[in-house]
Amino acid sequence: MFRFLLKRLIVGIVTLWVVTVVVFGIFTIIPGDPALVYAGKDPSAEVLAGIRAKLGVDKPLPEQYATFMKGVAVGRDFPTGPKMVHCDAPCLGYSYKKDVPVLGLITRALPITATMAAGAALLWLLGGVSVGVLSALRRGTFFDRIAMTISLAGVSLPVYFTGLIGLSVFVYQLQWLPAIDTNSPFGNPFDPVQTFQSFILPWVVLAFLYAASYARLTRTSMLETMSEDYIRTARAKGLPERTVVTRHGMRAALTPIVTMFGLDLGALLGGAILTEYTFGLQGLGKQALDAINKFDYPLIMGTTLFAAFFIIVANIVVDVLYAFIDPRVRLS
Amino acid sequence: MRRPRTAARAVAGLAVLATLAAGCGGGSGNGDNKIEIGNKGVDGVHNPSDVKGGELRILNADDVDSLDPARAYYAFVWNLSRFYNRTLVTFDPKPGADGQKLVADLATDTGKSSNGNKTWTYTLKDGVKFEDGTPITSKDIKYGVERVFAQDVINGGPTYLIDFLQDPKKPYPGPYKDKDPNKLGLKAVQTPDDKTIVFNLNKPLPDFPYLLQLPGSGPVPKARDTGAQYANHPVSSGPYKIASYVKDKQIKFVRNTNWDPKTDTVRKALPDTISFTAGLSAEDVDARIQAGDADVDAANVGVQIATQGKILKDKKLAAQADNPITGFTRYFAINNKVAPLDNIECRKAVIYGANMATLQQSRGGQYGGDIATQMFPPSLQGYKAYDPYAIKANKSGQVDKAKEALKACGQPNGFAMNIATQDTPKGVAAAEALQAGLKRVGINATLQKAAPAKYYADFVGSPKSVHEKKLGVMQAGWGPDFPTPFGFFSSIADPRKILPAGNSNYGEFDDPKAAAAIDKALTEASVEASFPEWQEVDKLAMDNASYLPFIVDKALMYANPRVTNLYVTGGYGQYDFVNMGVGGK
Amino acid sequence: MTTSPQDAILGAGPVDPTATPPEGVDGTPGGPPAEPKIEGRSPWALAWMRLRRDKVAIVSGTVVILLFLIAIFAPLLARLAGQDPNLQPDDPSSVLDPSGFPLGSFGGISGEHWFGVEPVNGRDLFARIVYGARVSLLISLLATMVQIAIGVVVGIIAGFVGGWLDNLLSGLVNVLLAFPIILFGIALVTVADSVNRELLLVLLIGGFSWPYIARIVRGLVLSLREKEFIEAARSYGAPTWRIMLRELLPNLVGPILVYSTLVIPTNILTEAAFSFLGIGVREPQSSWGGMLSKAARGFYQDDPMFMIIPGVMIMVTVLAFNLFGDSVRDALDPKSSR
Repeated sequence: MFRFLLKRLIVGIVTLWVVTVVVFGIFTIIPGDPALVYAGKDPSAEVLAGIRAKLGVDKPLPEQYATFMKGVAVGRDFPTGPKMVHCDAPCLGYSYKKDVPVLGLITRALPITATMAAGAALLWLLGGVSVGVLSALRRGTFFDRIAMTISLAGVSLPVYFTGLIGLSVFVYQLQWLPAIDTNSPFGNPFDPVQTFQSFILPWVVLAFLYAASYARLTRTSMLETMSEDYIRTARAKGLPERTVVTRHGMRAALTPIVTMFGLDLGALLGGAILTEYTFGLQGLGKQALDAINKFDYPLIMGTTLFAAFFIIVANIVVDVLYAFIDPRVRLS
Repeated sequence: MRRPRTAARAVAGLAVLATLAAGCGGGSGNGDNKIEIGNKGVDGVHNPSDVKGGELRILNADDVDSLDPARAYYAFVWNLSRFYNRTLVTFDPKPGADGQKLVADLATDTGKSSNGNKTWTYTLKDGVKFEDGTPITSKDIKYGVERVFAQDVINGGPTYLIDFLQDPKKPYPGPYKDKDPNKLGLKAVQTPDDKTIVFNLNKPLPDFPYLLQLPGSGPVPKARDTGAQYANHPVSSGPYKIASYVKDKQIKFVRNTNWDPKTDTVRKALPDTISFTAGLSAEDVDARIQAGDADVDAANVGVQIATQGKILKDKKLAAQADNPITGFTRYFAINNKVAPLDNIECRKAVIYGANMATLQQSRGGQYGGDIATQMFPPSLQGYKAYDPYAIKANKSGQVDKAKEALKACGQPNGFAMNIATQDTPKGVAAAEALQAGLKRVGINATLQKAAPAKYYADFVGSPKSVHEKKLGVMQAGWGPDFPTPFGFFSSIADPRKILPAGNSNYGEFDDPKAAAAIDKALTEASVEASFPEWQEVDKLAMDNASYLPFIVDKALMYANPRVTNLYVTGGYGQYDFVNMGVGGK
Repeated sequence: MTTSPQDAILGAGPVDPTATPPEGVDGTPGGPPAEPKIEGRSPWALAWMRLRRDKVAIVSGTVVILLFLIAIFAPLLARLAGQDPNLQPDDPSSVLDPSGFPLGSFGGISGEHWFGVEPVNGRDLFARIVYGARVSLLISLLATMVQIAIGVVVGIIAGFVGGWLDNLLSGLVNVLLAFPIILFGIALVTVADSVNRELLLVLLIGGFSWPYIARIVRGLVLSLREKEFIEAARSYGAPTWRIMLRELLPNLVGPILVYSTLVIPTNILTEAAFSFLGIGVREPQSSWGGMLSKAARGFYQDDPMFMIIPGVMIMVTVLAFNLFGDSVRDALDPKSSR
């Protein structure tokens, strides 16, 4: 078990390292002079050279990369005129647009993304799985057909379209919900009612999308499990159907769901760009998109790495969990 | 140039929908023709009052670009900076064109010039202090000016001071690399005593006091300068100081008790506190102000189109609204070097082929701007009307004249060319409108788009890349950094300002007569005396067909009716923040 | 597993099970020819028979064909409506109010403008919608081809050759799967400013989602590798490339076909998502995602039709492809679901 864990960890770290190389490469081969983005108008050659030195882009690429990685490992200092500003490890860079270390900006946006992801996850897990199980058990009935049709529509709807319709209907036309407070969705001071009102639409819209695909997966998985031999054996033993379904059927059928859930949540924590953009919530995805519009490269780079980190961690966690649930994995 | 204002507009445009106003039905009617915009704050003042107290709530989609006065370029931040940053001189707090005149602020007068406008001398008022109670001296002003020279740290703001105060033989590197023990090594600025400051320019400039009203010319106490981090808490010299600043969210201003109203004839300082809230969608900003939950929109670029529809349907809202010209010209620069536009007749064909009616529509119709006939914005001092292509009378373009010009150019069947534009909704809409207009005369244009932050810097700002990409026509917007013709034309019409990088003369307009006129203007005794030369520059640029101006921007602005002393100043082309009050509530 | 950017997460996206061709327990759809045959009919003929009997397949298939016809004949349809997708009215006030909103109800729907007009510039929406179908289908189809081509080649090589090559390719797949695709795509589009945008989208969508199919193909190849007919081919000394081409590939056609029909809708959604974020197809080229993006910027409340029409078009297209893909899978492998 320990060796398996170690192996997964090493693979994860190597993957993350390759991601840093590629991301770093992409952002540093950008044509044009990054100093121009920071300069005022009609900049002289000296001004541009000064800014280039400040950004560190006057150094050769390998050196820039080494400096960056050193920052991740042990932190680094950034010149701010009279004194240096220290950026603690893991230093994901420094936003020259906002004059703060990138990690601070990321951890600031994370609660919004996390709240959105967690609330939506709860909703879709409850909704998607229960609909999927019921559908499988009542296979071919009216309920099954309706549920599957709705979930197929669900996976066919872009989240920004449902989002806009939700805003249009519930905020604008019916006015059941106040406008989302994009500036401080948690309220200032913290206000549970306002927070709930700000997040409910994103939760529902995001959850609807995922619930639809979870319902379909659960149904397929459940149908497969219920046709396995051991279920037949369990039934033959005379166990009540309830016990067969819950103790034997669902336990096995939900294993792939757990896997998928882990990966989805990991990916979502890196930011749900479309949902955040549609509702204007300043989570990681929206922040990254804004950073792109302002050419705040260090921030985009930091966010990309951070998101990759979540995906990789989710992969490791899922693999390890799987190894616990299904001992066959360990053997291979 | 106020490039960043365009950026602010772009960001506001990109900023997401999220929410919308409560109330007001959908649908889109023709609107009641009888409804007229009040325009009370364009030439006059809404609710004049001296009642103190309350909180002024300012909203914006985007955060400030920098609170550091030397690093800000957004016009609204300059406007806002008057709360916490005093300069030697500043704009007269009055509506309209009067707001373009300067009055003394930290100084006792607007400056004494000698040596043919090459030496400017100022004396500081008594009793002016920073927020910590230390007196403001001429050395603090000098240190503030020096910071502008440290562009490797204090980047982002305007750099005119460097142009006029730098010694080309021994360039000053800014205070952080200054070898002088007191960090006051800039030779061109002398401080014979704590009250007197003398500026020795490297060339004459009648407009120099306008450079001193730029926020970056304000005082900075050396002991509290934190370089790039100064933006987190600039030291106040004005009536308010920064109590807290959470980036992208909120700035809170409270009264600066060390500000003495007796030293300040500009600021009324009515509210007790001021909040600036960012991180909202542009639609949300409108909705909150209309609902009375906030007072004024910081960006001052006009309400969103949906809100505009509401205002135009509601007499009460319309009466409170203002629709001033903001001093910003939208235009297409036509490049003199990219074939076949290197031929003046082909350039004229582009001008005649354009459909001004659709171009106006693309920028929000009659409330978004007036059709332009020349580069010189009518709101700027020294304006003289000029319409060489008879645009006023032919809003849909002149297909016949365009075809004649094409013949004269040797391209009777038209030609193919590129239109460069920022990738923003309004930018693209305008480029498409030009594209559609030119198609009528056989000119087939292809759009070349670039991201807003990259557009000016990289895409059209390098003549070499413009030639390589064959960007014959480039869309741009231009407003003066300070409201004099020099501020408007110096970068876009001076043949000697065609720079290899960061160029602003996109059309590469290089008529030597313009250079001569500009040189003559700068030797005039005063800004007013230089008007005829600048009018000549405007005329030369238009006659050369290097510019196709299409809109002088107007903004449909709406502020909470409770705001007192509300007016549009010609200085910034915005609602003037400095004297706003909220009636004590 | 496959990418499904319906939510277009920064990351790999929710893993859409519906797009997963049956794998593992499900066996190999379209199975190896070793499977018993009824009355000597080929599995293809059988599948075709089942497909024709499936009502859902017929309806969704018809919609899919219709969409292709719309895309192919977009210029003709626009001309039939008497409209041009890029033409702006000379006099904007004929179709727009002073604020730039369409005159008349339902976004200016009339005998002249069947779907109304676009706010601000007054272009005909019907013409833009049919041209939008073109962009949407073309990009997603080409992207699917890229994705399948790379995925199959990598999958077969990794699965059949194995060893260090398998390790290397699997590592590459893992790295790509860890990429926050949309975010990375945005950055890439910004970098490659001057590249043809349609081409870039094809390469981006295709180039980033092949790992999923590579994984599946590798899995299938691993199980096929042990089958008798491959062993047999090997034993008489057939070269590796020949076995891959002659023996393996034909057995993969079924699953690949199913997979293709199921990733097309995913790719349509990705294209729309990119356009929605403003980094997709460039104006004046019309795209449904781009229209929604504009609607989102302050138009959707007062001109809901401008949001509803492109939104519904996306939904109908994706739904039709999904349903049709499901039916194809069922037809090829009646054991699966339903």
